[in-house]
Amino acid sequence: MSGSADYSSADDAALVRAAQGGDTAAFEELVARHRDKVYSRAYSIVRNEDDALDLSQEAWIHAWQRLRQFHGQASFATWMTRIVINVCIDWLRQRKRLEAESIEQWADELGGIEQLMPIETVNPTEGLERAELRNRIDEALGQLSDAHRLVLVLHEFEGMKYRQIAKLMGCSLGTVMSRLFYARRRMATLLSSLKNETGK
Amino acid sequence: MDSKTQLKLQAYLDGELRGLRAWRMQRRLASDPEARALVAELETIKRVIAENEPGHAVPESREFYWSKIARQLQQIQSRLPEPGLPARQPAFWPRQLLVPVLATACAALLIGLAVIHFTSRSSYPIGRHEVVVAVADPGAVTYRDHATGVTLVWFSYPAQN
Repeated sequence: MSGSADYSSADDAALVRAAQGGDTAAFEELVARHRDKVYSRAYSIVRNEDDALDLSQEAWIHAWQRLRQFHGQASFATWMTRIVINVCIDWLRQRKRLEAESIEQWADELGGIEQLMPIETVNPTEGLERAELRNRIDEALGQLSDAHRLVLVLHEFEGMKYRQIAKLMGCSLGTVMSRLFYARRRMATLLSSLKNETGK
Repeated sequence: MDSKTQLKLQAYLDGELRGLRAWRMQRRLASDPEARALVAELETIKRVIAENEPGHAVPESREFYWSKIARQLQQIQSRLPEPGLPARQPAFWPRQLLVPVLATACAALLIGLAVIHFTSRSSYPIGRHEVVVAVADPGAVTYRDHATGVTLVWFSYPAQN
């Protein structure tokens, strides 16, 4: 493969093959195509622009070093997303941000507070424009703890099963279930309160 | 409703329950309005979140974002003989040392056994024999018994043809 015009018209599989042979220009094209998705996943987990930038770039370096291990079982985008998730989890673990640090957080982990939350009988997002709805979801996600948000991201956005999440996060199945339950109930409350604040 | 039941209802909603466990939750939902309300709330929030994932674009130009990655790739390539291969792991070095360390340990063991063997059989007191490790060749150890006139040499490496 030669010339940048070839790269822009080539599919991911061809670019991966070229990059596996050491072609950094092909790899650059892959970065350009998937950088937003990779960065967005990092941001959804760490909620900080600078950290998300660093971690997403680190994920690309990891990907380059492991390119020979990619055999196309999943799409390149899926493979890359898994790498950036692992990089982010390692980063959170190093900073002990996945551990419960206060009594309130322990209570959340064990279950209790979420039982007291009133059940939202009306869809708190009803009647909102899609862009507004996304903004509110983003804002509400930012108010969750790292551990609760991570479980939600892995389950709702990545479609992972409980067992996969538990393995990835290094915690029990019960912890995953409890965190997911709390995160969903908290999101329902947060979205509802955001709706009430704006009077919509 | 207790916490355990709430989590089971959620697991049912997420398709994590099979067989009898799923059937039990179906029965619970049919008879318990509180359970139905909870599952309806969880179902709504699950769907709304999954269908409206907030997206975030890289807040840098393509060139700037790539430049940092490219710099690191260059560093990696300068360390590796072939691009795209994983970096050499530091865990390899103990394996390289394994053979000489094991050979030295075996030699030391043999010497120890020989010393015990000869001193226990000999009627001569300890001190009438010597063990010599040559500075020029630490892999060769010489045992010499002056009384019996026996000399043994151990090599920690295989003999060359």
